[in-house]
Amino acid sequence: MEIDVIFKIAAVGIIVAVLNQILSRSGRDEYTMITTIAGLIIALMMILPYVSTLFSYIRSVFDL
Amino acid sequence: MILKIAGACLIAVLGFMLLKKDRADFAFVLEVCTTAGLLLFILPYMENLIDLFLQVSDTVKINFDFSEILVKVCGIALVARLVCELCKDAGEQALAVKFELAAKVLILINAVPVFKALYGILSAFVENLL
Repeated sequence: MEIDVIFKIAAVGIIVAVLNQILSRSGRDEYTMITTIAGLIIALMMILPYVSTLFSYIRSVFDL
Repeated sequence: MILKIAGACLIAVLGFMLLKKDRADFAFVLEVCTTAGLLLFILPYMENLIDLFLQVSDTVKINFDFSEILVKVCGIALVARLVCELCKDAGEQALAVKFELAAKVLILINAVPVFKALYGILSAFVENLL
C-alpha cells in the first residue's frame, strides 16, 4: 500500500535532481531553486494524506 | 508479513541513499512517508493488543482504574518517539531534545491522577503509623 508512494517520491526526487543538473549545466541557475521547491511541494502533497490518516488513527486508537 | 515490511524498509533505505547526496529534503520527505506507512501497517495489530489489555484490566477491577491513562501515555510516547527520531535523523538534535522534554511534561500532566492516588495512599499509611 505504501510501496508505490515510496517509489513515487523517490522518482520525484531523482527527477528534480536531474532537472537541477540540467538547468545548472545550461546556465539557468535561477530556475533550480524553483524546481526544487516545486518538487518538494509535490512530494509533500503526496504524503499529506498518509500522515493525516496516521495521526487520526493514533488519536482513535489511544483516544488522545 | 514481516518480509513485506522488511522489503519496504530496504527499498525505502535505497531511496534514501539515492536522494541523500544532493536532495536531502526529499530524503526527509521519503523518511516521513516510510515511517507513516509502516506505523499505519502496524497500528491495527496494536489496536487489538490495546483492546485485549483494556478487557483484561476491566476484569481485574482493582480500585484504581489507570488503564486509560496508561494507554494514553503509550500513545503520547509513541508519537514522541516517532517525531523525535525523525528530527534526529534530519540532524536537528536540539529540536529533538526539546520535543522529548515537551512529551515528558505532557506525560506527567496526564499522570497527575496517579500521583494523587499515590499521595493519598502514602499519607493514609503514614497517619496509621503515627
